Amino acid sequence: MRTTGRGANTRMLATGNANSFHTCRRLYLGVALPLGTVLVLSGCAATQVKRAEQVGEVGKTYANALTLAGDEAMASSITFSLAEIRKERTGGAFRTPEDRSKAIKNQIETLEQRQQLVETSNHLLALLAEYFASLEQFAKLDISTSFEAATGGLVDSINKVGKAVENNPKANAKISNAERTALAKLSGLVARQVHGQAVAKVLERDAPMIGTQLRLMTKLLETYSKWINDRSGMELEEFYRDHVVKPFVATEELPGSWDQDVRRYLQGTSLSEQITKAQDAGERMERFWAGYLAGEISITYLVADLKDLEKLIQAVSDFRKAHADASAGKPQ
Amino acid sequence: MKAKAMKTKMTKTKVMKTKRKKRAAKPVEPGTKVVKTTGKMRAAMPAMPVAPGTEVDLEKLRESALKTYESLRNAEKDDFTQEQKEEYWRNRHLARTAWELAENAAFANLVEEQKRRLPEVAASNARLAKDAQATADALAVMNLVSASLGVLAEVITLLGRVVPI
Repeated sequence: MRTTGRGANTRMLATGNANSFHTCRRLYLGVALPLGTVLVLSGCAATQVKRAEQVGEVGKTYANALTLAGDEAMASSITFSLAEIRKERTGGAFRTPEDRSKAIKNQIETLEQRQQLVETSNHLLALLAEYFASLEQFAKLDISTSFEAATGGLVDSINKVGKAVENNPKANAKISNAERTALAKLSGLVARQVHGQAVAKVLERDAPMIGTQLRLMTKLLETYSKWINDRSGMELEEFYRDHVVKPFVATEELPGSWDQDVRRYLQGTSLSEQITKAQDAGERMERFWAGYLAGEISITYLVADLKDLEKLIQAVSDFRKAHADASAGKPQ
Repeated sequence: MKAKAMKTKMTKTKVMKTKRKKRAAKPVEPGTKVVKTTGKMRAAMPAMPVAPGTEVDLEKLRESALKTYESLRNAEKDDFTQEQKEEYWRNRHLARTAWELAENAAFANLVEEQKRRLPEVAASNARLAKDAQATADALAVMNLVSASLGVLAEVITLLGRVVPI
């Protein structure tokens, strides 16, 4: 871009510096104008990226919480079945050694089948968690800096070629430093915008798959909650009848452990109620997804919800272990 | 001419009869759009969904087995004779086994559904990896062009020294 007109030269000289005038005008027309547009658009891109990051995080946390729930539900099944078959054996359910052999064989087979199913389900969940982790990583991919650097390098190379063609090492660069910086920044913003669109496209494309998987995860969570709750409910009921009511109703002195038993019962009841509530986490996830597709983006409460679920599973696990130890007469 | 007309009439009647027969064999509700399915279309159709009611049936089975087991657990057994007690524990064992198997069956159905949906997850995973690769490729191309231009500049400079323009 060269100015050859005499008037123009005079005007430029009158203002002080011809080069800076050129640079400013070119910068405004060539870079600043699109820069403004891109800046406006980059707001939308940032939202899309944020949304994808959130979906990735929530999905990953949910899949991990479900895996934990599956493991706990399995452990709870084993503890319950073993305690029950022990009682059945003592009660005389299996008369002959053959009966006992058959009973334990069947019990192990049932538990093995369940174990395999939980493992398969966890394996499939891991693949889903992998997808959500990749989605989060893809959204977090900060390509703007890389594109800024690459464009800067490209501009330098163009300048080098220009100088080489002119065969003059002292020749002025075709693209000034200010233009180089502005161009690099512009390319970074454009890259961010394009990335935001790519992320939005991924979310739109995978929305049916995510929706279906969330529905399946809700069912899994319901199943695991039922496994845990049904067992703990029955155990608690029996515990209440035998260790809380019976000793109290009887005329004999209350045993020393009675207070502790009542406390244990109350703790168990509270956990049971929490598990029942935790079942709703799946439905809340589905509601979140529906709201998310409708444009809502706040998920902070949901992540906290899932973290609470993980804590609850841990509490249930601790309670189950303590109860099993107490039943077996082990010191706590 | 008359004979030809008769023949055409007969053929038409035959065709109509055959059509009627076909309709009678496969009744179609009024207003239903009939689409003939070709082999290709059938191949493109997604896997048959679980027969309606299967999931519900399994859940009902689980519920009823659980209720039976719970009622046995709650039974008052203090007044039972030794024989009755043994009978009680046998029944309780059978009820628990039935409940656990019903739970397994319902869960197996759910895991089967998860497996059926696995290709969708795998495809999404693959597409996402492709997208990430495309971004990396775009960046690599930029760097490559930049490096190539740098080399070109060096070559031109070198040539300028060897062959004065």
